[in-house]
Amino acid sequence: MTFRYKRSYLLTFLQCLVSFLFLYSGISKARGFGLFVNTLDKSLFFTDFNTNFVGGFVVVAEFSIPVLLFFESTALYGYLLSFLLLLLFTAYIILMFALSPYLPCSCGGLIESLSWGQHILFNLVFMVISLVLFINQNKKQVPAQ
Amino acid sequence: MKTKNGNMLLLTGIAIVCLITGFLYYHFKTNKLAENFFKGGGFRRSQTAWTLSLNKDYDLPRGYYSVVAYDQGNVLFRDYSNKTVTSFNKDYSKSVYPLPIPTTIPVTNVFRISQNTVNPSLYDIQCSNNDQLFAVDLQNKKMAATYQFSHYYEKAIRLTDSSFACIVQGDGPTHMQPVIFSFMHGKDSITRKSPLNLVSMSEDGMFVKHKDELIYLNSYNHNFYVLDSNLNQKYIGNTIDTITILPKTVSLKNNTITKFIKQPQPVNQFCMVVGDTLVVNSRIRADNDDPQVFGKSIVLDLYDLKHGGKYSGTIYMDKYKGQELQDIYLGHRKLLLTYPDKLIVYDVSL
Repeated sequence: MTFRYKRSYLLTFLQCLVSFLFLYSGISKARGFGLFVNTLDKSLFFTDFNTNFVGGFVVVAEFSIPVLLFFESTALYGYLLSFLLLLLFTAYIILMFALSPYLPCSCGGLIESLSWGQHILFNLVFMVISLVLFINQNKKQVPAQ
Repeated sequence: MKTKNGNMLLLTGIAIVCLITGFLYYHFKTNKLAENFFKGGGFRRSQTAWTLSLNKDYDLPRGYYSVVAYDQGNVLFRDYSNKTVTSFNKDYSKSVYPLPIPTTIPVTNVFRISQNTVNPSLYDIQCSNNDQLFAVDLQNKKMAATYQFSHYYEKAIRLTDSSFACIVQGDGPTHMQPVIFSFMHGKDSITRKSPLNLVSMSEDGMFVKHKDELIYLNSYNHNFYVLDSNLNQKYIGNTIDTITILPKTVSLKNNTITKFIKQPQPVNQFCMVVGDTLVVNSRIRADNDDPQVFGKSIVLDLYDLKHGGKYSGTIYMDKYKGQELQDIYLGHRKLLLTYPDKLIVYDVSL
């Protein structure tokens, strides 16, 4: 098997991994939407916010990533959204960790059982994956000279 | 060309994330909740030692029940689907008492039945929608007294033979006010008005009595008001959930309809006073509560009323078959719990 094929398999695997992550996270949040919103309510960063809207936005964004990644023409936006969402989550976790005396986690599913350090590491790994896939996709879409 | 577009998108996205993060930071820094949280000592529960042993349990047909009283070994409870009070007697017999109230009052208008604190052989039946309250003798099926209110009232609690503390509409359509109604020769009058103006719906709650004080515990936030016998505020206590704030409402159609912007989370479900301790059944998980354990537990937070309502500990107990609790009664060294198909009596010592 040539390096080119191996690389292609690896990229497909990583794409599936990102899709699965957001699909799983989105389903977990959607199934327990009330609990998810209640946890957001308890966050000191979302006081006076319409947390139903915030929660709904996060769930829709998470579900839209696997859909965008499914089509070659929209995959670039899927990787970008994945990277930015993870960046936002990481920034939020760091803010909470640094400032908030109370750390409610609303990630859903198994991810919720990670410690805060593991959470950041987990997000960073997926951020790097998303960024690599984004750069690769971006290059792929450059028309041949 | 495409690479440039991609890079622009990426940079724009990162800028947006930075803006959102900055906004969250600013919002956090400008609200005082974190500060209050620290002042309140954080939101961590500590378990209190207590003993609990099963005394009796009763199977019930599936329904909705509340405890009326524990009276000399008899357990009196109410089935919300009909106008009766049932007693599981200490001699293992069962008595069903029809409520001796006018037949024109539908069962849905019977809000609360409680033991009369002045004459314990009587029971008070609140029919707020009819602006009435009845004192009845269940055993002899007799009406002892009818109190016809001239105002719509809620959450009445008996103070004396002829007076009640209640909640009535306050200043403006979206406010409620605690008042004392006194009855003289069948006529009511408001003899005391509390300066407290509660936001209707958002500050929905429940009254309990402690010596000559009245306690109004909010259902949807972490405050409880301690009022003196003139309904003046003595102090505001905080339940340990220091982060829950008032749910927001919206008024529609020229203030004629008020709605919650979103369904509020119940914070404090039930409360009672035992001695000098305020016992609150909380629905909010603390920072150090295990989510799995919390979901299967009944949580009773204890507050010391001799020391300004200071939090003194928490009692955890398992829910029966994980079912949702319908009512709690704590008194006479007994803890009574009602579930959709069970009534359980425990011997308890705090």
